[in-house]
Formats: sequence, structure tokens, C-alpha cells
Amino acid sequence: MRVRTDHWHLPTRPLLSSLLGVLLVTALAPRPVAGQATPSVSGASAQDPAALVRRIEQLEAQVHALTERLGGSLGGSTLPPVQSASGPAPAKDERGAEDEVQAALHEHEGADGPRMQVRGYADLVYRRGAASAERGFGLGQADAFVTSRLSDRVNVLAEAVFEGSEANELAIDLERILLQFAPSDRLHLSVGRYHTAIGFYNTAYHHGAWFQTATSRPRMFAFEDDGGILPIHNLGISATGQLASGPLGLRYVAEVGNGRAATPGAAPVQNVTDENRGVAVNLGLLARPDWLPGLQAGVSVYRDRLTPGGSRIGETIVAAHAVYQASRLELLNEFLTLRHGVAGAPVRVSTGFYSQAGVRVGRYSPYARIDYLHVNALDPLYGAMGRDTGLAAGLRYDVGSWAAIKGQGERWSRRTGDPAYGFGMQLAFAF
Amino acid sequence: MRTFSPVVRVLAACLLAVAAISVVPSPARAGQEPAPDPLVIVVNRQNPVETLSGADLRRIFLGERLTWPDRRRMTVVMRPPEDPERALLLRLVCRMSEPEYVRHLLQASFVGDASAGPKQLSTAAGVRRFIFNVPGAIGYLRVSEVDDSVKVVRVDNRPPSDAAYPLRGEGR
Repeated sequence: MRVRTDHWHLPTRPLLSSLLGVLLVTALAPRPVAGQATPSVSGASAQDPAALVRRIEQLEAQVHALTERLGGSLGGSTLPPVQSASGPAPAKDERGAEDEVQAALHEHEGADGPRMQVRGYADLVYRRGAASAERGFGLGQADAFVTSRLSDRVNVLAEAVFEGSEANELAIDLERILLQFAPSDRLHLSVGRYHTAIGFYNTAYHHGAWFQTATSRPRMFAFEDDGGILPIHNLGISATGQLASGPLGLRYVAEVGNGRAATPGAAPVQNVTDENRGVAVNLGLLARPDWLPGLQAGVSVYRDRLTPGGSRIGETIVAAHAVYQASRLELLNEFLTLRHGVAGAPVRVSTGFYSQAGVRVGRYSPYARIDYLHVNALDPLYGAMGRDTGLAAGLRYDVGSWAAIKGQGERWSRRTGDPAYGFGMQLAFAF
Repeated sequence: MRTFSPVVRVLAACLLAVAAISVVPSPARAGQEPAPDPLVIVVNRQNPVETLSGADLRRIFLGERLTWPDRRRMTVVMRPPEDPERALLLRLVCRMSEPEYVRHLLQASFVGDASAGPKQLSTAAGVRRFIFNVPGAIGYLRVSEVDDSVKVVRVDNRPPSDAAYPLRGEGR
């Protein structure tokens, strides 16, 4: 279209003044902020006060009716006005959001009684070891982990593990059953069968191989029925909590339980009866300082009296750990001494440590571990175990967020005999 | 040559200025995204807490701290995993990615440290409404999403308007 330039001329003075005035007022008038709904009253003309009053009365009646309905469904609680920060949402989305809030409040109030949460952790392994029992595919552990909130401060935790034996038989073990009471951050009480808080690894990584970086546990934390030397499980009362320590982030652990059985042939975990009158006591102190998130260091002292065959053996386990776990780096270091004292004989001291380092590069986590366990040859309970030194290196690959494939090579040397080599693959997952 | 009165010249200058302001692109129009609102930590209005340290927040959102100083039970409210504000909170407060956070919560539950885990609500209005109704609740919103139904707490004793307020940034 051609522009007719011959009609371009300055308007007369009164017209120009009016035009400029309108433009200035328009330009300088306050604008609604982006995303903020422009106030409007639908269905009523801004020029008609009577219509506006009628509309306000209608809206008040609607608000009153809605308040009564919502108040009834929430046990009389007052609801705030729900405001959309990004303008009016479609009615379907608003209904969905409202349903979501109502469901969350309903669940929070525990109106339906205890609600169980069930998780599963399992692993499958493939091994190539020196012994025939360490070859081929194997079922690791299938862990059914259940928590249930009974009230604001009372929970139940239960864990049952399905596991295969060397005789290829499947068995179910109730690994943990705990009633937990947490009145404050200073005190969490648990009663039942628990994982003894000796060191770090035993409570941080237990059943559920998906959590741990490596395929296997450090030698000194081997399970009781795998020839381990520590009382991994216990039955009794456990208390943990935070201490007023400012940026040090101190926490304590105090446990009193049956301890383990020492009578030859007896099940190591005393689930029903204690073979002696004494109780096992474990006290721990650990720090999680504010200035380095991911760092944890601590010590624990476990004391029990064992009575195998009528003799009396004093058992003391002192463990210390320093671990650092961040997004890209994992450093685990633990050391312990196990002391067994028999009346009239010197105390026999056994020692163990491991040091594990791993880095995380995307989905890959290469790692290495040094493992050492030296059981005193004159130890009254485990003297035949001797000394094991292990070197392991492996790679973990996370397949999505819920599964991992791990490969680990190991070299074990004993005081006597040739070193043993092994290789294992593990598929560990959560569901 | 025709001359104009001073009034006309002033008005014409104003008109030109307005036109120039309308034509010159604003930073947002020029393709520069405006800086997002800071993230704010919100609690129930009855909660007496006024400020929380970064370490406090980390412990709370990781489930390591479960009760308020008045012994009221804490309930953490989170937005869904795909939400940019959630990613920002995890990065600035927990120093974790989403998979690391999920794994941490599972492990905390596994060792018996945390019982229920956070509540998950998908809208800002839902977060506000839940926190309004649950005295021990704590969550996060953008500044522009806050209204009078919730209370904003300072972080490291700094209000969100402070230039050194720590919870600023993009979610992704």
C-alpha cells in the first residue's frame, strides 16, 4: 500500500496537546506486574455501582459456601486463600492440586491409621574364586524392608532377608525389628533387634548391597554366619541423639543388649534367651561437623562378658572411623581392636582395619580397598582364623537411579599358603 | 521557518522519549532472562523460629533433624523432582543431585534415622496451603510465590532482600 505523504502535516495546536496528554497518561500509568492477574469483575460493568454490589454479594456467598465445605473436610482448620502466582490456572489443574493437598494433609494426620512403606533391595552375583563354593551365579540377598508410622513420634522398622546357603537352600532371617520412639532430636529410642553400632560400615551398609559402592563388606565386618568376628546384630535397647555441640555436630549412641552367644554350636545372635546374666553395652560418640559436610568421625567401645562352656571371657571392642562422602569422592577408613581376656591369662588382642577410596565420574565409580584382619593366634574364640590381607579394586556403574552393576577383583593373602585371587560381578538394585 | 512554542516543544520531547522507551528493547526483550527470584524458606506462621543457618537447613532437608526447638515435629515439604526450585535447593542447601538425594533419603530410612521422608506437593499454592495447616511444616518457594499465609525465615540471618542472601540462582 502506498503511503500518501502529501497528507503528512502538523496538526493544529489544540489537537496536538490533547494527543500528547493521552499518550503521556497512558505511558506513565502504573502497569500490572507480569504474571499478576489484572483485577476485574466479570459480569458487571465498571460503570454500574449497583451491578458491582450484586456481584460482590454473589461472590461472598460463594466464598462462604466453599469455606464451610473445606472447613468440614479438614476438621475445622482454617484455610488460606489459594493464590496462583502465575495467573489463573485451568480448573482441572486446580482441582488436581487441591486433591493433592488434601491427600497430603490426610496422610499427615494419620487418619487412616498406620501406613506401611515397603522397599526391596536385592542382588545377584557371579563369582570366580579359588574355592568351588565361590564359582558361578549366586543369589545374594533379597531384602524386604518395611517402615510404618504409628504416630508423630513412634515408628516401626522391620527387615527380613531371603538368602541362599552354600547347600543351595533358601532361608528367611528376620534381621531387624524395631519399635522406635523419637521424642526429640536429642533422644531416639529403639527397642528390638538392631545392627550394633560398632564403627561406621555396620550401620551405614548392612543388607542391601545397592547402597554400598563395593560388592562385598570389609573382612572385619563379615556377618556372624559368614565367619565374622564381631557381634553384628544384637537384641535390646538402643538410644541415639544429637548433643548440644554447635558446629561440631556431635551425636551419641548407647546400646544395651544380650550380646552374642559364645557356646560352640549355638546361634550367635541371642534372639530369645541370653546364655549369661550379663548384658552387652556399646557406647559411641561421633561428629558430623558443619564445616565439611560429608565428613563423619567417631569412636565406639563395646563391652560384654562371654561364658563359653562355663569359662568367663571379657570382650572389649574399640572401633574408630573417619569417613568422607561427597558427590564425587568417597573415603572410608576404619580401625578396630578386639580384646579377649580370660582370668589368669594375658589379654589377647586382635586388630583389623580397612581403607576404601572411590571417585564418582558420571555413572561410573572406580574404587579400591585395602583390607586387613589379624586375629591373635591365642584368641580363645577365633584363634584359628589367622591373618588376612586383601587388596580389591572394582568399578560400579549406576544403571539409572535404582540399579547398579559392579565388578570387583580381589587378592587375598594369608600368613601361610599361596595368595588367593577372585573376581565377582554383582547386580544390585532397589525396588 | 515555522517555530513552536516552548510548551509544544516540551510535549514533543516527552512524546519522543516515550516512543524511544517503547522502541528500545528491555533486557528481557533483548533475550536476557531477568534474574530469578531468590528461593525463600517458609514455615508455619505460628513457628517462633526467625532464622536458620545453612547447616541447619542442610540437616533439616536431609532428614537429620526432625524436631523444632519447641519439640514440634518437623515436616519437610518438597516440590516434585522435575521442579527447578527443587534442583536449586538440593544444589545450594544439600549439595546433592536428585539421584544422590533420593539415595540419601533411602539410606537414612534404611539405617533408621529418618522415618517418613518429605511430603511432595507440585504447586506453590499447595505448599503454602500445607504449611498453613501443619504447624511443624517447612518448605521453600520463590519470593514471588509467598503470601501472608506462610512465614519467611532468614537464612544465615539474612533476609531475601539482602544482596548476600545465599539462596539465589537458577534451578537448572
